[in-house]
Amino acid sequence: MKKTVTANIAGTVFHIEEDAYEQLQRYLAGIRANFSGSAGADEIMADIESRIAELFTERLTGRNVVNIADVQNVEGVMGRPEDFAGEGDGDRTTAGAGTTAQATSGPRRFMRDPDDKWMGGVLGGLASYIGMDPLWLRIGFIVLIYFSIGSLIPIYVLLWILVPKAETAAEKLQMRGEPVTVENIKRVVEEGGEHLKQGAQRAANEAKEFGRDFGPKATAWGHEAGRNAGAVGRNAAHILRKLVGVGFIVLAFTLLLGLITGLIGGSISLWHFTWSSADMGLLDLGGLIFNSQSHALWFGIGVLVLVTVPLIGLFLAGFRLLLDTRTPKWLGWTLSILWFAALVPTVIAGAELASDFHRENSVRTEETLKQPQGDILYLDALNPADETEGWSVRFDNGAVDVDMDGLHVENGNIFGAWAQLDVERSADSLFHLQVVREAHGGTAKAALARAEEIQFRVEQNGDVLLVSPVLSYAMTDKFRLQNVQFTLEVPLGKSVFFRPASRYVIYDIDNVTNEIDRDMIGRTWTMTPRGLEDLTVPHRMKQEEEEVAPKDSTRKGPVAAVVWQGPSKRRPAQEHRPPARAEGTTNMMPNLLQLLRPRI
Amino acid sequence: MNLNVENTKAQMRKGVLEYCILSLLSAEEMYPSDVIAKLKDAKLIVVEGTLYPLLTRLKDAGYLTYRWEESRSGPPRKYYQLTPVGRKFLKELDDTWDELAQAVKKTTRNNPAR
Repeated sequence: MKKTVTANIAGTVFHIEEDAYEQLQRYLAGIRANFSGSAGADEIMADIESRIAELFTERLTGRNVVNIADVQNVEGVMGRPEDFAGEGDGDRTTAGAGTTAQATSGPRRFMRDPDDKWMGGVLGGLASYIGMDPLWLRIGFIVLIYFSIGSLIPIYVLLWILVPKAETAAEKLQMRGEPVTVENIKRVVEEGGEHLKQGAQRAANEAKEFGRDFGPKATAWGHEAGRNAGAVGRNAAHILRKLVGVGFIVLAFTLLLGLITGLIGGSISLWHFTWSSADMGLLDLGGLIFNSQSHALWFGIGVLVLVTVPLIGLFLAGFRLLLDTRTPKWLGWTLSILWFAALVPTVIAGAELASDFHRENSVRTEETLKQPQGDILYLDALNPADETEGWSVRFDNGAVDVDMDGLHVENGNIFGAWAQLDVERSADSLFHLQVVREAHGGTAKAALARAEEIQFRVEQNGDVLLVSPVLSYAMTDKFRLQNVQFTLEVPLGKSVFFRPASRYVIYDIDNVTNEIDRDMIGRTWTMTPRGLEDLTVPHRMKQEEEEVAPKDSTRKGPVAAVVWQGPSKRRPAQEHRPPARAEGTTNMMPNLLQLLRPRI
Repeated sequence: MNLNVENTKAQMRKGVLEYCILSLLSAEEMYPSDVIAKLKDAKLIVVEGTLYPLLTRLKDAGYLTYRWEESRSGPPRKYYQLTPVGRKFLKELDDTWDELAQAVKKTTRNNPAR
């Protein structure tokens, strides 16, 4: 019994035995290779196919199926591909379309190689093009993918789409840079047939292997797939496997590298996290957070293993997909056990730590302030360098910027620039400074005890109030989100001036014009019924408004005057100041319109 | 050596093949198989495959034209015939061939060394 293939040759349908079909296909490919690229190629092929159909029809009297003898007969009648090739040599100049113009060695072409590929055959083709071993090209490419953080992958896909696949024998020869001669074509075609057989065999084997790995159910599928391994399914699965494999390896490698460098750098010094002159490592930091350094150590080791083991697994999986290597069973078991073992200390230490953060408590005190001589209190920040020796950078009137985040350890104390200051309206006619210290702990009592331990510094020098952004507490208290919140209460009609260094303490101060903290520096802010207001700005604004829209200020002015008597006698002009916020922008419009009017 | 002789013979035949094809088609309209049969009779060609590129080339050069005709056995056939340009070309080839045949005869037969 023989399988037959149905083929349409020049409009006639033939049933051809499989082996005969293969031979016919090779024969036609051989002929086509001679004409590929020449103008009349398609027409010549059509003529030849037409003649072949005729010959088959003549021979198929009383039979239905074309066999290999028929194909051999056709080859005998039509001649071998070589005979076709020789024909054009005689007189190529007579006709414009030389039929065998391709018979000589042309320039090498960059084409994808379907016979030597992992994914799209781009690198295989490139290897042929530049005459290199494709393996090195692939290794180099994978390394480059890593260093380019994957940006080469779209380029590969683009090449896959753009670069044509070397499909015919002639194209394959062009790709390799071999002369397109009849002998070479025959060789390539025969090689192609071998490749096809080997490829199907390999696919079947791979599918079986794949199936073995994934249990009996998959095995059945593997056998099935192996039997039916068509070119399409085989390639798609193959490509996907390699692609996923490369992705796994790159991802695992990147993360592992980051983890290792982070760990090495971190255990030596956390230079960015602290601004301490004495280097502090991860373990020191852990000691500040955990109740003991051994807790920190166990937690660190646990987390490390929990993260690293899956990454190693990812790495191995990537290699398995890409290179078909097998992971030894003991390694898988070891990794799994290690991971679960690491879960124990991590969870215990983590839970203990979490319980110590469980409750929050705060203590509220008031600092007694000497009231300023005038109406203005000048706010400044204390230089942290006065408190600790380790500050490498000092700030002076805000001229030098320091990284104020992080923490600093000295003499058994933890220092951190976490204190913040807000400004609110005072209930009476005096300046007040409220201080709220808060901390976390396992119980409300412990949290309160910690809060009371927090040290902060406030000084007063005449009309200047100096507040330190730095708070400190004993190392033995541990890091439990200790925080200090200052609230400066400014009485109605009095002002506060933010000196440059105060930008290290003030945080999110509400004001009428909704300006950010940075813009509030270096200005006098007066407490009005609406909140903090810079009264010098509306004063400037008012003069502009009088030119543009004088009505506006007269309408709004008295309203403010009724409510309160103005900030001070020193600035009587401001009694008729307009509300500052919206007018600044809205009154710009008529101004602009007026400017435009003469031109319209 | 033998291969060289065969090759030379083939080249000689090829040289006159176009002329013969045009000549055959000038007498009557034919389809490739007819032409092949005639050429095979004359031992000018051995295999059919060689003819198709030649016909296409001559057609592309404007010497030949064809029309389709349904066939009772198999696909439709191309019937070739000469164009006016082809006839003119054939006339030239006729003259050239006569001259060439004379020259060859004169050179080879009158060679005293043979």
